[in-house]
Amino acid sequence: MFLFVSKNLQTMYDVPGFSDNVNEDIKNAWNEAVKSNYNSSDSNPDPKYFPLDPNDIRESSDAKVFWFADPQEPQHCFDERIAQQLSDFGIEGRKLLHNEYCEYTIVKRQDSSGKLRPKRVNVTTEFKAYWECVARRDPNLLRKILKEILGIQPSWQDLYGVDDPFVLTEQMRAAKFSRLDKINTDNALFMSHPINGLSDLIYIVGFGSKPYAVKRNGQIEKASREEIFTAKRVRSLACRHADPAASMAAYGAVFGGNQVAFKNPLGMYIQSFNTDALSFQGEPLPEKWIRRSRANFSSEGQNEWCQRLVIGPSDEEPYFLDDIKIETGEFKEPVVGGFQILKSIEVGPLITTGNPKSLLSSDYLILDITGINTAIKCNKAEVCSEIQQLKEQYEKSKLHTSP
Amino acid sequence: MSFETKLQEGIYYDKGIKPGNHLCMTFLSVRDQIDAPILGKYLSELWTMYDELKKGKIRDLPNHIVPSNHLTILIGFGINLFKKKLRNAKRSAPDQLEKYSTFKKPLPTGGGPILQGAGLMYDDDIKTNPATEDILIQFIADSQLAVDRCVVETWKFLNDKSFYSNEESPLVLGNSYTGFQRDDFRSWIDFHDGISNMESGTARLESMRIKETNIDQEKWTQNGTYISFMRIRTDLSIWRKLSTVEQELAVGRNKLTGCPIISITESGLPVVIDGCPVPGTSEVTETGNEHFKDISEGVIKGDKLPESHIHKANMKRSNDTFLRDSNRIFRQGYEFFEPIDISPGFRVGLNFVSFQDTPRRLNDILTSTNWLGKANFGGSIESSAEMKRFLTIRAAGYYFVPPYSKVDKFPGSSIFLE
Repeated sequence: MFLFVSKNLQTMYDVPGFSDNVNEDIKNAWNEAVKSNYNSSDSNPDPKYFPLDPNDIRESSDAKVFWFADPQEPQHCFDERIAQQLSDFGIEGRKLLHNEYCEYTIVKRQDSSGKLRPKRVNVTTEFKAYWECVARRDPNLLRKILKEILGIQPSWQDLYGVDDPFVLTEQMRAAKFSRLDKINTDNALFMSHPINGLSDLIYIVGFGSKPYAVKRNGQIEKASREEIFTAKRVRSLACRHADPAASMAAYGAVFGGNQVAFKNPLGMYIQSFNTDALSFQGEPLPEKWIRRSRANFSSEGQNEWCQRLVIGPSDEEPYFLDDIKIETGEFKEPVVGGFQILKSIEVGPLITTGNPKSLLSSDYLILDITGINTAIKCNKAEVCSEIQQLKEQYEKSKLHTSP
Repeated sequence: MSFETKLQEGIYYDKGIKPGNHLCMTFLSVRDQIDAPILGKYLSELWTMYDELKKGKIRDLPNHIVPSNHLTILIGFGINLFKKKLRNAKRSAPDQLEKYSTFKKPLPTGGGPILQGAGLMYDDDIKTNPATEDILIQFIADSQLAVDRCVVETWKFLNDKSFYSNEESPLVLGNSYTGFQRDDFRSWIDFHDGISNMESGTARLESMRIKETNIDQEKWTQNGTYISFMRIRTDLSIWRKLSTVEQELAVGRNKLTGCPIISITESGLPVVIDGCPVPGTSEVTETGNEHFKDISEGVIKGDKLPESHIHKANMKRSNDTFLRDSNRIFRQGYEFFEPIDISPGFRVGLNFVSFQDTPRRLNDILTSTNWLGKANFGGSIESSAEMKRFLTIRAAGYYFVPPYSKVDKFPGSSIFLE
C-alpha cells in the first residue's frame, strides 16, 4: 500500500530535457508513465524516503548522481581493449553491453577508396517510454522529432504502416511502435537495452532509497554496497557503473536522514563530456563536429547537458571519425567507435534531496548477512559467460572479414 | 606454484599505522636499451643494499648500525621502461599503464596543461617534466636524514659499480623531491588538508589494489597498484589576495576550525554544519569531531558550494571504493619547502602522492568537468585569470607498483628475471 498523495500529479514532470514543445496531453501521458512505473516497481519505493513528487521535498539541494558511460561489465570480465571491441560490435554489442543508461551507434560510410570507415557516433540517453508516449499520442510530433534528428521526414507508412495514423486508436499506434526498431538501431534515437528503461531507473533509485543498516558488535552501522546487493539478492547489478552509483547515492542520502526524489525534468542526461580529449589534425575538434541536442536547459545555465550527442563530420565533409584522435597525456589513438567517446562522458538523472530529519532506530532495515560471504568478484559475474559468447561471435566475424 | 602477492610497503592505508614523517621521491633513468636480465640483476643488488639500509646498515660503516627510523622503500616502473628501454622483458606493460600513465609534455617554452581538459598547468619555467624517468623509488622514514641518506647511498652504489667494473652503470640518478608531514593537519594555505581521506583499511585498499582479472598476461599485476606523483607549487601571493570568506568558499571549510561549510547566507557568508566543532574542542581534527570531517549526501544547500575544492575533488563520498567509477584514490601527500635564489627566496607546495588501481581514476578527477576538469583549485574564484595559476606543476608522473611476494628478489623482479 502506497501513501503517495500528490497535489498536482498530472504535471509533476516536464518531458525529459524540456526537449519538445509538447501539449498537456503528452505531458500527462509522460507523468502517467512515471507514476505507473513507480507504483508497480519491484523495488517497492517507499514514499517516506523516495516520494514521487519532487515538490514534496523542501530545503532541497541537488545530489551529484552520475557515472561514466563506458560499459563496465566487459572490463571486469576481460579488459578495456576487449570491452571496446565488443561494445563497438554493432547491434550485438549494443544489445548486451550498452547497459549504463547510454547507448550509441556507429555510422559508417565508404571513403574515396571504397573502404567502409566510421563516420560518426550517435549517442543517446533518451528513454524509450517517452518515445512511446509521443508515438501513441502525437504522430505529428513523432515525425517532427525524427526530422530534426535524421534530417529527413519519414513517411507515415514507415512509422505506422498506414497512410493515415490518425485513424488508428492509441493502442493500435502503440502496437506499431516496433516499426521504429530499425531506425533506432541505425541512429540511436532512444535506449533499447532492457535495463536502460524508465522502470529500471525508478527501480534502482527506489531500491537504494531505504534505510538499510547492518549490526556490528550490537551497533547499527551503514551497510556497504556488497552487503546491500548481496542481502537483497541482486548481486548481478553490483558490477556496473550505473546501478551502484544511483542506488548508493540515494542510500547515502537516506541513511543521512534525507529524502530523495527525481528533479524536474525526470530523464537521463549526458552531464559532462571532456571534449578537450579529442583533436583533429592537432587542433581542437571543430564545434560543428560536436552536436548536442534533445535538451533545453539553457535557462538554467546547463546548456552542455543533453540527451543526444553526435560526434564526427557530416556526410558532406571528406573526413571520417578515425581522423579524430583521442588523447590521454601522451597516449594518442584514432577514434574508431563509441566506446572511446563514452569513456569521456558522465551520465545520470537529476536527483534532489532534502527534508532532513533524524532516523529512529526503528526506521532501520537491518540486513541479515550472518554467515553470508558478501564479497562480490566482478570478474566472476554470471554475465561474463554471455560476454564470452559475444567475444567468440566477434572473433568469428573478424575471421570472415579478414582478407 | 603460485605465492601470495600483496601491496608493497610504503603505502600506509591500514588501521593503526601512520606514515613516516619524511618522504623522498627519487627517479632513476635507464641509460640505454638493455637486456632485462642484466638490469634485473643490477636492481637485485640495489635492492639488497636497500634491505640493509632498512636495518641501519651502511656499506661504508661495516658493523656500525645507524638509526633507520622506520624506513620503507617502494619501487615503481614507468611506461618508457617497458616501451623503450627493456629488451627481452619477461612481462609486457600492464594495459592501464600503457593507456593512462602519461601526462602531457610541457610546452617548449614552459607551462601548458598536464592533461587534455585539466585545469592544472606546468609552472612557466618547466620545459621538461622530470618525473617521466623509468623507475621511481619512494623512501619514507621518520627523519629527514634517513630518506636523504637513501639517495646518497643510491648514488654511491651506482658510482661504485661503474668505478670498480669500469663500465657505465645502466642506471642514472635523476631528480629527487623531498617533503614532510605536518603535525597541524593543515597545508600551506593554512586550511586543514587530507582529513576527508577514506576510512583506513578495506575502503582504501579496494580503491588502489589491482583487482582479479581473467586476462592471463595481466594476472601478475593483481594486488599491485599505480602511484601518481605531482610536485604542486602553491602561489601564496595569489592566495593571500583573497579575503578569508573567499578562501573559505573556495576550500569549502572554515579556515580556523576546519568544519565543512554547508550553505551561504544571502549576504554571501559561509555557514558551517551545525554542532561543529563539538563543545570543548576548537578544530575538526580533535576527538569527537570525526563525523564532521566529511559530509554526507543531502547536507549541502545551494548551488555554489558544490564548486568548492573539497567537493570537486571528491564527488562520491561513499566508502564504496571498489568500482573505478567511484574515482576514490588513496592520497599520501607530503608538503614541501625549498629555498630558491629568486624572490621570495622559497617555494612551497605539496608532493601529491596517490595510489589507485588504475591511473584512470585520477585522470578522470582531473579532466571531467563534473570533477576538477578545467579547474585549478575549485570555487567561484576560478573566474579570476590569476587564480588559474594558483597551483602549478613542477613534475608529474605515473608508475606501476608491482605486487610483492616472498619469492621475488625485489618487487617486480619477474619483469626482468625468470
